[in-house]
Amino acid sequence: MASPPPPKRQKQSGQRTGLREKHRNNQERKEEAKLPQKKYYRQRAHANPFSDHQLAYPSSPKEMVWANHFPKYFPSAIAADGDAETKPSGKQVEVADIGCGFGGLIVSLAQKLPDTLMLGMEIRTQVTEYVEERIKALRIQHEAEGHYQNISVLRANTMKFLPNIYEKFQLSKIFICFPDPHFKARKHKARIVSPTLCAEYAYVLRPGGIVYTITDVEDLHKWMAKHFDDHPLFDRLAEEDLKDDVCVEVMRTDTEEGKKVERNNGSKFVACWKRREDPEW
Amino acid sequence: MRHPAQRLHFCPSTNTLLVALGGILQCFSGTTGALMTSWSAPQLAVRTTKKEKRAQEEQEKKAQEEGGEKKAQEEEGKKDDEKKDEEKKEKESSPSKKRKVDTAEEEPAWVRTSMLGVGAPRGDGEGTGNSITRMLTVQEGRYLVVVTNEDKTLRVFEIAAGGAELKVLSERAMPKRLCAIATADSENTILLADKFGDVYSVPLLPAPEELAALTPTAAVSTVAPTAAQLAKAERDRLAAEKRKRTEISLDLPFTHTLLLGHVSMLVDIASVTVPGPQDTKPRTYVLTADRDEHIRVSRYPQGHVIEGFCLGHESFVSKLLIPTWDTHTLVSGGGDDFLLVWDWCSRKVLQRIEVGDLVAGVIGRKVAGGKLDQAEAEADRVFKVTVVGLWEVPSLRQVLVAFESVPAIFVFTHDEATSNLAHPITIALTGNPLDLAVDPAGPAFWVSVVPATAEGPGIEQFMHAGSQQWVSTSSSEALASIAAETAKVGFAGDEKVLNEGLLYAVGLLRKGTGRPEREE
Repeated sequence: MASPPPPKRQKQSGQRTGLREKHRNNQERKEEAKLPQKKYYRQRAHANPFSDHQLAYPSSPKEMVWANHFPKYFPSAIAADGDAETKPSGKQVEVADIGCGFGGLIVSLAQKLPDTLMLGMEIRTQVTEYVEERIKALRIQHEAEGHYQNISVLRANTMKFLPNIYEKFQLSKIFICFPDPHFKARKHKARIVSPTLCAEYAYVLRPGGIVYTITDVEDLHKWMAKHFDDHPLFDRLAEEDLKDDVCVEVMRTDTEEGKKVERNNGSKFVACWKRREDPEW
Repeated sequence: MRHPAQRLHFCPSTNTLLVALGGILQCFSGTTGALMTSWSAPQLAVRTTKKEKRAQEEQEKKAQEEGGEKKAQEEEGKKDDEKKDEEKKEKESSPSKKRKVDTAEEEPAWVRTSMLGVGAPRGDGEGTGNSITRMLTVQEGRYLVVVTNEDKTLRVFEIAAGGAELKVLSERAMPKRLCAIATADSENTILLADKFGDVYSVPLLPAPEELAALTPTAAVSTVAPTAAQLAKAERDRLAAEKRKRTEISLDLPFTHTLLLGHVSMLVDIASVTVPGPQDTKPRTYVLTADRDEHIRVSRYPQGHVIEGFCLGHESFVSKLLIPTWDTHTLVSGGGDDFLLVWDWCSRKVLQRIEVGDLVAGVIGRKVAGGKLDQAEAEADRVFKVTVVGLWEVPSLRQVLVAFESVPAIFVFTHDEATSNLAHPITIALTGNPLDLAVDPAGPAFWVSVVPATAEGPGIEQFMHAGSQQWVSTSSSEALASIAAETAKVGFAGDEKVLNEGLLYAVGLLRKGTGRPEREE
C-alpha cells in the first residue's frame, strides 16, 4: 500500500499560526532594532487601484503632516518654538518612489543622496508596514551617524491621490520600478503609466525633473515608453545621459524586484524622461 | 406610474422648454406650453442571461410535455429552440460576453469594442432603459446635444422650424457612459466626461466624409447580409489589436481626442474662456470634478498641462458652476454640507457656504455631509446632503441650489459689497427636485419634481416678482398643457431601480454607501 505523499512544505506567512502577529509585536526585536523579516509581511501582489480602499489621505498637500515622516527635518509644532536646532529645515520631499514595494530603492538611495528627502509610496498595507518597521530599525541602528532620517514610506493610491500629497512642481525625481504589468488589455487603465496619468506626473514634477522607469516585461516597457514619448511634456533621456546617474544603477541592482530578476537571469528595461517647461500659450 | 422628468432644459433663443422623461424627449413652447415635437431614444432589448434562458426553455419543455397543445405551436417552439441555439453560438463567439444589452444585429461592430471596462458602479441607470441624462442647446438654439445612458451615445440634433422639428444629424457611441458634457471653441466642440474618468473632445458637427457613417439611417444599412462578414473581419482585426497590448484601442470611427483623464469617476465638467494677459488671445480652461474630491483645472486644448487642483471638498464633487458675472470664480458642491466658492485661477477658497442648517430647516432632521457612517445610516438619524444642481439667474446674480431628496430650492444672491453669495431664501416645492431650467429673460424657472402624489405636478414654475421674491406660477395654462403631455409618459418597471438608477443616483457616489470593503 502506497503511503500518501508527505505534505508539501509551504512558506508560512504566519497569518494562521499567529507567528505573524508575534513577530510584528515583538518588543524585543524592536528594542534591539533588528530588521523585520519580510516573510511575515507578504501580501498578494495586486491591489485594485480603482477601489476606494480605506485610505487615509490629506485633503490637500497643505494638510500633509510631514513631521511624522521626517522628524529631523520637520520638528513638530511644540518643539518648533524651542531652541534653534529644532527649526524647520525648509526642505521638502523631492523624490517619490511610486510603488516602492519592500523599500529596497529608497533604503539604498538614502545613503547616496543623504540630503534629499525621499518618500516611498505603496498601496498594500502589509508591505507598507514592513517598510515602516525597516526604516524605524535602520534609524535606530544608525542613530549615531543620523542616517536614514531622509527616507519614509506612505500608504497611498498614487493614481488617485498624487496631487493631494505633493504641490505642483514639488518633485525632482519620480521612480516607477517594476510596476504591475496588467497584461489584459481591458486592465490597461489600471497601469501606472497611461496617457492621462502622465499629465499628473508632469504636474508634480518640476521642469528638469526626471521620471525613471524600469521593468522586466518588454511589452510594458514599450507601453510606458510610448506614452511618455508621446507626451508633449517629456523628453526621453539618451543612454549616455544615464551613464553617470547613480539612481539608474541603484534601480537596476538594489530594488527587490531587480534582485529577483537578476537571480532569474531576466532582462531589465530602463527608460528615463526629463520634464520640459510648460509650453507658452 | 408616471415617469418623472429627470432632465429639463430651456433654450432662450427659440423659447422652447425641453423635457426628458426616461428616453422620451418632449419639446414645448415656452409661452403657450404647446407640445411642438417629441423624440424617443431607441430602446435596446435587454438580453436574458443564460440562467433565465434555461429556465425559460425548461418551462417551454414542460408545457410541451403536458401536451394538449397544437402541432403548430410545437413547431414554433422548435423553431424558437433553433433560434436560441443560434443565438447562443453567436453569444459565445461574441467578444463582449459581458454586455448586458443585446445589440448583436442592430449596431455597428465598433460599438462592441469597448474593452476598457472595470465593473460599472451602481447609479448608472441600469434597468431604467435608455434614458436621457444630459441635454444642451448650442449655437443660439440651432443644435441640440443629447446624451443617453444605456447606449452611451451622443446625439446631435438640428432644431428646425423654431423648435417644431428635431432632426438627428449624428449619433456617436462612446466607449463608456457619459457623465457630463460641456462645450469649447465657441460651441463648436463638445467635451465629454465619462464614467471611466476620461474626457474626450469631439467636434459638434462631424466632418462630411464621416457623417455618412454616423447618421442613424446609415447605421441601419450596415446590417445588410454582407455586414456579417464585415463584422467578423472587424472582430478578427480587433482581436489582433488586442494582442498588441501597446495600444488602448478605442477605434471610434469619428474624430475624437482624449483630452485628459482622472483615475476616478468624473461627475461634472465645465469650460471657461477668460481674457489672457495683455495682448494675448483669450484662454480656455477645462474644470473637471471627480468622485475623489478633486476639481482639476486643465488647459484647453492642451489638456496635458494641469494648472492646478481645487482641493477642499471632503466628499465627491457633483456640480460646478462658473457664474457669468464673475468668470474667475467657481461655485462647487457635492456630498458635503457646504458649498465652496473658489478663485479657480489661484485655486483658493473665497467663501465657504454652510448649508446644513438650511437643509435641516426643510426636512426637520439632523443633517451632515461627508462619508457615510454605517451606524448612523442604519439608525437613519442623519440625513446626508447631496447637491444635485447649481444654476444661475444672471440678471439677478442669483445662484439656485437643489439637494437630493430635499423638496426645496435654495436661492443665494451675490452681494456686491462683499462679493459673497449671501441672503439665502428657501422656495418650497411639492416634491423632490430633479432638474431645473432657467429662463433668463423672465426671469423665471421651471423645476421638475418627483410627484409626491399620483395627481401632484411633475413640473413647477416660478416667476421673479421683484425684490428677490419668487412666486409660483404653476397654475398657469401653459404649465397645465405641459403637465398634461408629460403625464402621458409612464414607467412600468421597478420603482427602486428607477430611483437608484436615474432619479436619486448622485447620493450613491458617496463613499461607504456600498458594502464594506475588504481590506487586502
